[in-house]
Amino acid sequence: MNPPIIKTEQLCKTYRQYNKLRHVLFNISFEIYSGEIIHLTGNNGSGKSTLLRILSRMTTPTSGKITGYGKLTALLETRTGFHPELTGLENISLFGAILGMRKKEIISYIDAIISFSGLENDIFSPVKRYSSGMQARLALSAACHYPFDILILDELLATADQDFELQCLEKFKSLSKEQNKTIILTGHDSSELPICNRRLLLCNGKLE
Amino acid sequence: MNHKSNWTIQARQPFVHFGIRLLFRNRHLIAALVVRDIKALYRQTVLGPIWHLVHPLLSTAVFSVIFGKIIHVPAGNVPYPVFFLTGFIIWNYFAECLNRTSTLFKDHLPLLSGLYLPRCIIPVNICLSLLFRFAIQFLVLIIIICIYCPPASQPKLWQILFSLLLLIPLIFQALGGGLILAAITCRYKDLSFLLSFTLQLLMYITPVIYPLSAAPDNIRWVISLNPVATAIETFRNLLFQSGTCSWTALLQCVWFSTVLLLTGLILFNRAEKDFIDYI
Repeated sequence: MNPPIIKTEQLCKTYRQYNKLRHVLFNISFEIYSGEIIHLTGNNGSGKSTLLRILSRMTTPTSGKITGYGKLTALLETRTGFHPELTGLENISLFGAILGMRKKEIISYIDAIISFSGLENDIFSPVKRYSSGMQARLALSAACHYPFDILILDELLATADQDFELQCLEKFKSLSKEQNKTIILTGHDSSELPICNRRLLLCNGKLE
Repeated sequence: MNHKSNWTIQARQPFVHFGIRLLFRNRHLIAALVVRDIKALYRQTVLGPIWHLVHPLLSTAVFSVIFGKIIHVPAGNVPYPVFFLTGFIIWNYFAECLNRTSTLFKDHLPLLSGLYLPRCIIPVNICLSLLFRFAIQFLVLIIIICIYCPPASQPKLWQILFSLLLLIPLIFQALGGGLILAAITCRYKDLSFLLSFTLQLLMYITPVIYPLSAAPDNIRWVISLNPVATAIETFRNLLFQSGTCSWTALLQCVWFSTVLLLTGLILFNRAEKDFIDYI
């Protein structure tokens, strides 16, 4: 069997709040293999976002270690780095640059991104005129078309409408089946995503 | 699968980590971000980059009336407006760099919290985007100097190029100071109050509106401790042979700015890894 694409060992995150320590994550250890779609669930404040922030290098763990390989793309908020004054097109090419791509490479993906997002008519207007759903569409389309090995999406799917959500899930399924990509999605406890291979349930900072 | 790079995330990261190589590897991203800043700035404006000239020219008009006509500040061998404009453009670049770097976590939060990019790119991006503005102002300044200066003291090409080298210690200082402030203000916001008026006061102890030679001896040494003063004085000396220029002061300025930048980088590196938890 292949080695895990992400392996966390004894991950802890502690915040200091009013001179009291608050353990947001406590001894989290798991392994994720390539080609898996993981559904990370838990109630509000259970540490989902913190875990994803650590995975995407936004912040550092207090202790513990994560090892992994491959290119990791993470989208943690809806307005991911979009500049409100720039057009949708300019923003997705900037997005590509942030993911470390050259101009030439970016251009080869642009058409697929635009047609997947269904925003052909609005692609030349500034992002500040987009609704939050449209922004989510654009961000999601860009994220799943630019090359990656691991994709982390937090809260984004919830912003897009049902049709687009299904379209994305379909895309994720084919990405994981055909190209062996790994995808991590979040959601609340109740929602079930049929495409996910595995569920990781966080409860008060512990893995269940 | 072995061709893909392995990575680890750990609590402890190298203490000193300057990331020159990281900057080089991300040069395309830096270029894209600078283009983004410049493009976004001129959206929905009619005059676009011309606005960069309005601010210095308007200030020059006001300051020239006050300090050139009412309080007769000696300006050496050039008319006072030219003298002032030279200092003002440099000061403005420095102050703006410092100011924007110090608030970089707050200003770039949407970019920094949504998806990961190496944080040390942002300060570089700030001073490069501002350099565009400086370039426009500098060009106009050179034209004005050539019109107003007597032909004997007009700057030669090597002097103009050499004066641009002074930007390096200036950028080092602005980034160094800005990064130190950014590192502190992401946890304690007090300093941002201080900065807003200190920068204005700092301009008065920098020879922007007066030449260093006009200051009395007992104050002059205080002013010449200010490394921005050295940069401005040398700049004027190169462009129209007024103002003091000494190698010791210049060396001191370079030495100081390097130390400041290194301090800033160390503090910034410590702050950036978990600033998102505090801001």
